[in-house]
Amino acid sequence: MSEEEGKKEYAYFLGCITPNRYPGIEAATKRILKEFGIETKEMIGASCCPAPGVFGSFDMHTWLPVAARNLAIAEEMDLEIVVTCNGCYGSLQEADHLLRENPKLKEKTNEILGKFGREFKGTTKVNHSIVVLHDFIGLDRLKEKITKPMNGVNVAVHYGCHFLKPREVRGHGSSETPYILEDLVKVTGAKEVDYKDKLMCCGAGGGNRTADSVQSLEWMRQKLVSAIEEGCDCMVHPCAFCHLQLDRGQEEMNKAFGTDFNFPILFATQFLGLAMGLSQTECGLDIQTTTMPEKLLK
Amino acid sequence: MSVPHRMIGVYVLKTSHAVPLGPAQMELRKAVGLDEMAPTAQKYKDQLEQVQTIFRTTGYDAMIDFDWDTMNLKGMDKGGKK
Repeated sequence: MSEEEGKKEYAYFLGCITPNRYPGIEAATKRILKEFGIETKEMIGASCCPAPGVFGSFDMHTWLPVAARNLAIAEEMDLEIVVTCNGCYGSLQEADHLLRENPKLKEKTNEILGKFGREFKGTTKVNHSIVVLHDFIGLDRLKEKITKPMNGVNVAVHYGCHFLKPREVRGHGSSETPYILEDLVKVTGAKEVDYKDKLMCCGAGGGNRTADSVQSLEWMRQKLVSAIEEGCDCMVHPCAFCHLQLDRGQEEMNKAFGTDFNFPILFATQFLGLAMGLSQTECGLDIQTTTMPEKLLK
Repeated sequence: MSVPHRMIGVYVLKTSHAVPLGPAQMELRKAVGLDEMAPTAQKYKDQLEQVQTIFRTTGYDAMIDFDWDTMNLKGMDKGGKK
């Protein structure tokens, strides 16, 4: 086993929506990582990341120390971070990047953190859970654990904005031709189906869901229709905030527009969990808004 | 900033989360085999106070017209939107 393969613990940064609205994402992620010998450690006292849209966009000088405090908690644990939300990924990774690149910002931020005995040092790394699955665990090891192949299932992948951009900071290659989610879907035996609005925002980001829910839902409807028209059975994504928008948003959209959408939405570890033999209860898929068809549960 | 955006700040000042945990969500957590409350700053007063200290220091509380007595936006306790 290489040194990289030997690292088996991550500080799990939960953020807000994963633990407080969609604990199925948290449960499925912990169960899947544990299946590969990876322990997720609780970050005691972590807070909102804070959200890039409603904090980062309005007041960087508050956004930054709140993010730095979360990074400092992981540093105190001497662990790298794993996340299940693109908003958290964006805020924490970008804050880490800014503080490492700008000594004055770091000094100013640490003056604030010092008021309660904390310090940002720049010793952790922020990882997205789907990158851990794809790059650290790897497709070969994932494939070995697939006990309920998703043969015949057509999947629309949705990345969300903050996973892919800014490209230079994220480091996942081209933001126009991503491959990580596609690989994770295909390893289950499912078919990844291209669709017109694949790289479109879910409609929630940038504070849009909070500011203008109708416009936000209309945006989402366009995306869902684009996937449904291509014959997709479900949507698989890597973001708890997108999950809130795409899942609960369908109920809100049906009320607002008189529609009847029930298009299954799954976080990547929930989809992989089903393919690895976890029940929909273990993945929390029976406590969300959209329902799972037999095709995914067989 | 609009009232809905400022309210997100209120939630974080009160609980450390933009989307806080409530009793209904505790049941959801138990249903998937998790502790009813994750060990975030919402659970620990001293940790929440650290987050509040940041907001006080940077002046975010004043920027959104946060009232520390009511733990809400100023004027919201009287039913009005400032």
